[in-house]
Amino acid sequence: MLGGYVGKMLEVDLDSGELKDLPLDEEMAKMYLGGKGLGLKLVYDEFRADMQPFDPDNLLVFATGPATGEKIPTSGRYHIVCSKSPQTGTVGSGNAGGKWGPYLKFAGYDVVIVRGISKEPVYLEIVDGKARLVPAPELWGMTVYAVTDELVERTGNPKKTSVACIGPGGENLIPFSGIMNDKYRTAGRTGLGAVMGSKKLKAVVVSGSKRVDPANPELLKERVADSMAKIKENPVTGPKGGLHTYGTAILVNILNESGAYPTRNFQEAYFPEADEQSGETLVDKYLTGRGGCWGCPIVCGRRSDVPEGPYSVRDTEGPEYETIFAFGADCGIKELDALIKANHLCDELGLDTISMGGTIACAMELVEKGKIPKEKLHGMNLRFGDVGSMIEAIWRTAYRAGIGADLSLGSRALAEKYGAPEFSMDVKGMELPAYDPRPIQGIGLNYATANRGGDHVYGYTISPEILGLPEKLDPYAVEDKPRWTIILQDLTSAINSSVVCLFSSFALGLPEYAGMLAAVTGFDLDADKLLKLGERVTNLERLMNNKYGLDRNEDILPKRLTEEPVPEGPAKGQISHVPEMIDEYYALRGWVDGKPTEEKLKELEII
Amino acid sequence: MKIHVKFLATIRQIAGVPEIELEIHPGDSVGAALQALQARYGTTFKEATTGTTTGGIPKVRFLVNGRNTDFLEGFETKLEDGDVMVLIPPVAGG
Ligand code: SF4
Repeated sequence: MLGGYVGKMLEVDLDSGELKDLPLDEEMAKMYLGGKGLGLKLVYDEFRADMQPFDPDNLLVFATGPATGEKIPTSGRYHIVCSKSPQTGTVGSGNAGGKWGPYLKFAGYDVVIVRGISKEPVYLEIVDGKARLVPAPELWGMTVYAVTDELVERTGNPKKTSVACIGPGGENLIPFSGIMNDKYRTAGRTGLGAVMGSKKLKAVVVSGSKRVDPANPELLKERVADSMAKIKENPVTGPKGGLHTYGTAILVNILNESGAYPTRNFQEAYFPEADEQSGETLVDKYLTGRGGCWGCPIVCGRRSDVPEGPYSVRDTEGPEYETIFAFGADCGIKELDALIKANHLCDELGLDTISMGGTIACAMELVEKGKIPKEKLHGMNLRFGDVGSMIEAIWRTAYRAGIGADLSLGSRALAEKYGAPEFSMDVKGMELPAYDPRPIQGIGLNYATANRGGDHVYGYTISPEILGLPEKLDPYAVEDKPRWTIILQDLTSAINSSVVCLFSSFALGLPEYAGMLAAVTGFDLDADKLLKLGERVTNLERLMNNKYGLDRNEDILPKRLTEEPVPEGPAKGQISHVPEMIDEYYALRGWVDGKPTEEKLKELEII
Repeated sequence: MKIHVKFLATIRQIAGVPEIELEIHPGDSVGAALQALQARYGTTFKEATTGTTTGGIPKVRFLVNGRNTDFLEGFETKLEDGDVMVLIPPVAGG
């Protein structure tokens, strides 16, 4: 087999209970690498345009890549895709760190493909190359931390074991529930947790220690040393660098001071109390330690502790920047201890924090503007700034309790239900992340065109537009943004197919990735070929979305962002110019009206 | 005249305060304000706000009223009474 791959996939049919080993197709690996690319290709090979999110044939694919679990920096990651997302109606897709990806490989598989629906709750256990389905009615209903502890204990080998599971959110088919691994790591977006819940699959436990050999160990060592040096000397990714010291929360003040910190459901873009929830404040008040994913020299994770007060929670992880925005400024809430609590609760219930926060923010605006009548709230004071209601709304959503049944629809269906669709800040049904696109033109174009909906990490233009990495782009300018957006989107598709962490790209670029991947796999790869592979992955995902009926009509931002200028703050008067950029984006992509042409698909060898 | 200066991340640690009011002369630029800050906060601050890192990344970037000064006049950007100037060391997130 090729270097960097086990060469085996596990197919799990939950209808019949049958487990089957399949060989990994080498040609497919060369074309799509692994992770996202390989997962999408497996889904595409069984594509059905009439697929429904909870259809037994909706494939759920857990895919590592050739980098996963190798001695490559930030290679503790894996990707999950499903044929149809319950949140967006697109192909579903999410990425997570921790150690689950490497341990799947050490347990003997590159990929797990899940189909069908089990009659009763089960979990899948893969230990040292042996897989079995275990009936688990007693685990159904358990929260993420509890079930993780239970299953790790059952294997009797905690150090070599990792658990990916769903919480009550996934069991209750909440369309923005995620798949959680190692308790705190989340493949959060597009509702993968609900797809897993629909299959009655509570968890996938992986345990093993068999390393996978690279094709060219000496060359890999050399190239890894070069990349490690670049990571270490970089002020962002280095040992005492910005990411390690402050985590992603360092962005709070930067985005706020740039006038791009979405506030009160994107009605504003500046939150005067932002510093109270900043990365600096997190370090001062609640940080107890730092932690990283398997094999990561950057170590950006936070351990936090709120020892007392109404939102006390002991020895937890997070919160990330996105979570702070979603439950914080977007809900008009400044208290950082409450945001830590909200994050903890979402991890425990298995909910995506961005979509949960965005949906609560939308509900708060609906309440304040008189769209949701008081009697629907049963006493909840669901208004901007009301901390208790924000926290209550989370568990209510996971259990569809009271107003939680409406919140569990997500912001788009919620706002439609109450007659004000313009209050939903989403793209393709997925709530927008923590960057107001009005003063940052590239990120707006990326949100609009991202295949999985409102997604910042589809093509992270914040890097050049706000952080000046790898070069500086004026965030207000539209010139050249389509080209940059495309490059970053395709680069990310390649990164997610490798699979390494997007954060390594603050220090590394395509030549470093291609060099390490070529040494691992033995493939003929260079920077251009890797970017082309990324383009193939982006286009394949787009093609499937097109077949589901999506086109340029779905590549749009909420009207608020293209028609209502930022009202106050440093970016006052700015507006998103996506409508002016989109045709250039399509032309550069070789797409017409949001669809790759036959010529483009042939060029990329997709058809 | 006075401007409002905010320090982020490690620069805040060195300055020891999150923000200050800084007295400057009419017509002063970002460069002049930086010099005043370096004089006030000493060598560690000066070291942390001068030049580039090993990888060639500037050790500090400036926002003036929300705009990165790289897209204004850089160090020559003129400051006015009441302006907000933010000092940002190299950081990132996602
Ligand atoms: S940079 Fe952070 S998220 Fe990425 S692999 Fe390292 S610890 Fe995990």
